Amino acid sequence: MALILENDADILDEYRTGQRDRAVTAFVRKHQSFVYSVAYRHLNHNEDSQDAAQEVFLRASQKLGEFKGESTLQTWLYRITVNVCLNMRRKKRFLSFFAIGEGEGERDVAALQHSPATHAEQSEFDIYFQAVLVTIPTKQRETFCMRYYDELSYEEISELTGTSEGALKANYHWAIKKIAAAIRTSDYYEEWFENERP
Amino acid sequence: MNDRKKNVSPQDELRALLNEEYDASTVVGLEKVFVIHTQNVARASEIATRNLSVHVHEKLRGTTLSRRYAVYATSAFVLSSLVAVLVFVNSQTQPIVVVSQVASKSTSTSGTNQVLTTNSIAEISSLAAKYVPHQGITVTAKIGSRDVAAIARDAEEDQLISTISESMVSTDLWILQESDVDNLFAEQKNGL
Repeated sequence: MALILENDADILDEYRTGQRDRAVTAFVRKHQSFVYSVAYRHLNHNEDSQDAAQEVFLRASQKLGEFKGESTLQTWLYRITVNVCLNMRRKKRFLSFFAIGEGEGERDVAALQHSPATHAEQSEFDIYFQAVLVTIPTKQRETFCMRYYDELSYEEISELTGTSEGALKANYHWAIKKIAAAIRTSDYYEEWFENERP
Repeated sequence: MNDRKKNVSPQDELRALLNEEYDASTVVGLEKVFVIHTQNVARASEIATRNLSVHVHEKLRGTTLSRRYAVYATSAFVLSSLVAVLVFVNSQTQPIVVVSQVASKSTSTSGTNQVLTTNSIAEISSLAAKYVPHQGITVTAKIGSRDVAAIARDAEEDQLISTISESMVSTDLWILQESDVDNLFAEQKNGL
């Protein structure tokens, strides 16, 4: 029996041999950042993303024994996360229909720029970076995030999104060029770069 | 070659792309910006997902408990429904009336040992009043329920024979046979 469950195979073995609590703990700890990041990119809201991550792990933990291993646990989790986020957005949209003065679009922008939690946890520059990300096309943004933050291979991203690897590479390159150009011309960069210069 | 390409990290790829567009010092600066931002994102994710495994375990336990209670509740409901149905059925049950065929031997004096059957039980008192033998003697004796149908049939048969005999008295050539009686019964049955 492995003392530390570092890889997915160990987690699954542990789960199947009856050590479910231990396996679920390792499973959640290993993938929680990834799931939260994906959820945050879809929902743009800290609390909603936390709820989504919890829901994703709840569903995944209940079905962990049925996981066939046809893909990696990460890609499996990605699919569940996207589905959960879509459901949450649908629910929000439905509720916002009855809410007065708060639309989905308004909430997204507000969450990006004025959320107290965001202010507490992120620097101004990070908020600016997020704002730059929002300006680039969705496919390029998602490809950049999956490739750069989540460190998925093009093959895995292709499997998840159904987009060809060539198109994904092009998306990633365009995303980096646009982000770099925006940062390069920003006041933040100048200020930061000047301070760093000897 | 392919393996080497696959193993190119996103950071290496980023550096290569920035090198195409910017000078070396700018590339270093931008790269740092990306790295710092990535670290900040990771830190924010870590803070946001703190104790997530604990919450998941709590939820899982809650789900398990509620499922277990749901099973108990369903079982209890099914059992109580079954008991209620049984009690209701028992309270509604009455003795079942079975109408059986009455079979009896003919008491006719015509010499046949034919077994006569009937599908209904006749009212004894009404039969006694109707039973008038061809000799004109009214029988008021007690009749056992077992022979009621046979008696009724015999009486009917005797009456029919006497009627035919009287109507045919002028015809010397014709003698009434048992088979004739059977034929007449058959015709009567057919509504002739």
